[in-house]
Amino acid sequence: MTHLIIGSAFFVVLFILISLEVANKTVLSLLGAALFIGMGIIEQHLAFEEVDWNVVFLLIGMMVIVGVTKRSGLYQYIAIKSAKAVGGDPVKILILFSLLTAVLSAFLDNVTTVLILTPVMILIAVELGLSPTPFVISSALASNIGGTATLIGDPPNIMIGSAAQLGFTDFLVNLGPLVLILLVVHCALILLFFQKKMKVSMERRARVMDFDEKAALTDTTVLIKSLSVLGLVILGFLTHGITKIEPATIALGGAALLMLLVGGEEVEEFFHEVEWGTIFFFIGLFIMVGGLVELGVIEMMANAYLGWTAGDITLTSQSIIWLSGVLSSLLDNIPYVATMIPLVEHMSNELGGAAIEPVWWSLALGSCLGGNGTLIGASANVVSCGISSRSGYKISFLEFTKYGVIVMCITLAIASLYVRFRYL
Amino acid sequence: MKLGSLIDKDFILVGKEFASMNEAVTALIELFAKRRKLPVPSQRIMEIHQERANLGGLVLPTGVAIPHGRIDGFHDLLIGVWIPPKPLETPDGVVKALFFSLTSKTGTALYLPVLSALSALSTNTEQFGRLLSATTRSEAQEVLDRTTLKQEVTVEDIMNPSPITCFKESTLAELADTFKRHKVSYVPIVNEQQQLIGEVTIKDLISRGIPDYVRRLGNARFLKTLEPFEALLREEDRILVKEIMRKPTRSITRNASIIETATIITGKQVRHIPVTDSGKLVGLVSETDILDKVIRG
Repeated sequence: MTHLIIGSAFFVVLFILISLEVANKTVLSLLGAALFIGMGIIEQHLAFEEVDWNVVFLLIGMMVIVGVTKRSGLYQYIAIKSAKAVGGDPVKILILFSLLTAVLSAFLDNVTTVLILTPVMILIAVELGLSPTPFVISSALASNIGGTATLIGDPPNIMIGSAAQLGFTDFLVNLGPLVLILLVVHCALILLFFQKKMKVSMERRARVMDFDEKAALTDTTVLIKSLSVLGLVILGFLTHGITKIEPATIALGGAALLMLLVGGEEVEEFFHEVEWGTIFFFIGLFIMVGGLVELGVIEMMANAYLGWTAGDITLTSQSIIWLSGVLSSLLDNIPYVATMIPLVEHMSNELGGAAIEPVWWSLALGSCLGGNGTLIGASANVVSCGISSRSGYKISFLEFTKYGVIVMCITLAIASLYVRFRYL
Repeated sequence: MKLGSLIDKDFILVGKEFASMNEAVTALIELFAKRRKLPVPSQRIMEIHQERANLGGLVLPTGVAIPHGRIDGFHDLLIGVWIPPKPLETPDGVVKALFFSLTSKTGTALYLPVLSALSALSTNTEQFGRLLSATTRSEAQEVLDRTTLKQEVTVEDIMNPSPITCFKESTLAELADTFKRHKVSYVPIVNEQQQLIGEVTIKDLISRGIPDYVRRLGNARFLKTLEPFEALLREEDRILVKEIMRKPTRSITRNASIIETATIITGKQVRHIPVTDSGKLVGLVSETDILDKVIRG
């Protein structure tokens, strides 16, 4: 009983410290994991078994593949090409960039996508003589919406997919149609927010039309090889139902194949593309959450939740969408989802495996879309606003949040209607 | 340690006249050869000296010439002195006193301190005057005995004691002119009390026109023009140094060692280190100082 109280208290404190980024979050999560094992809350061999290696290796594999692909200059090429295709019209560029970010976020991951695209967007905005803020905010929001559509688009989905045995096609079929609707709504909203600020002279447009996008493609050999491998990997995800090969194996295999094709001396460098801090953050979290499961805390929470909803699946899933949305906008959504996964697993023991599926989708939708609620709600927001600030265009917490919270509320409302009518 | 202890009285030439530095060096090598067994023939030493002399820079602005020869397998430091009766005009400058050193190829630990002691002696008007007016070996020896050797060369010995500085309220136009006029690539920023408050390089000036997002593009081959870069050229009279200066990332005290200096320069990939004394800028030391005054001292 003392263990239970101390363990839960530790977890809550660490969770808050991680969300506030009081110290490096990877260090905090590893420290928490070490404490949990050291205090005997969870035995070491059990703790290590709690780590979801499917998530860890899927992340590592995708980080390597995307890291190599981005060297080709392809994404800059697409961004400039699309800006020129609409004749430098800022309103159309704003919409196109949001859609481009959303699509790339679905198939790469959303943090990498904004890392690559935000600099190009700021460039084009500045050359057009406009403030980059609308472009940066719109695409950060779009990246969280786009990332919701697939297994690999947003870290919560990777975790949920692995735990609930939901594959790439499951996400695409179940969440894809909704994301398309949400993107249309998102575009309408950003037009409403920013359209009147999009006034530019012909002279400025001409500057953008003068960009030579072909020169952005640095290495066509790398381009062809990395696109082929990326294509193969996505094909691998899509055919999981037939081949039964897990996503982590596909991603790791793809990464190895790509390094073989492109590498040589550079192979060591490719491993630098892996954000090891993020990887170890996940590992520490899995261990801590494993400790909570051992303590029985999760079971108690699950029973309490089911007691409150009286096992009603509609109420359970609808409330999870909104609870996850609000909490994910205020706290880091990765530890949140890590905690919720065993909780939902317990519920599925009570309610039955098939009945629980809407709850998984609700968790994914709430935690991904909730990230839009505030500037700190998702890593993609923090990263893109960070780039903007370092370039001299500061985006404050409130500035981001006043648009983000509207987009979050409307998308969550549509999502809960979607879940209501499609599954319940 | 006294400089005089390192110099044998017999190796001091006073009152003799030579037409060139080479003649004086030849005479000193003969003196060395008479008293000591040298590992290579005198002729070879002369050639080695000549190779170094061809690089120039052997005559300090104060009138001290420091020719030297480094030879293999010679584990000592011999110093010969020549005080010409009247200053000798050479292409490298006027020579008032000449110190020829013979040392091993790797140099001895004392070689650099000797150079720095000689440089210090030549700026001490009183002592240097006495040395130049010496008429006998003993008189010259007396002055050298009074000159002490610092065992370790410090930043103070190689730094530029009066670097070009700038104020944070200066405009970028003025800063650019400063870089160009004084042919420097780094300027420490000081306040009215000469305290170091920042630093700025030519690269920082250029960076103002290339914001962070451009550097993140991966490559800039598709850009022929860039609005922020044009803005830099347009507004150099309006932008102030304080907008581009960086906080001083490093500084060193004047009695820091050369090794510490070299470690910072190589480890942090910087080319200049401001020298401070309780916050006040007292000098600037650069990689070029280490090359000129230590490696090719």
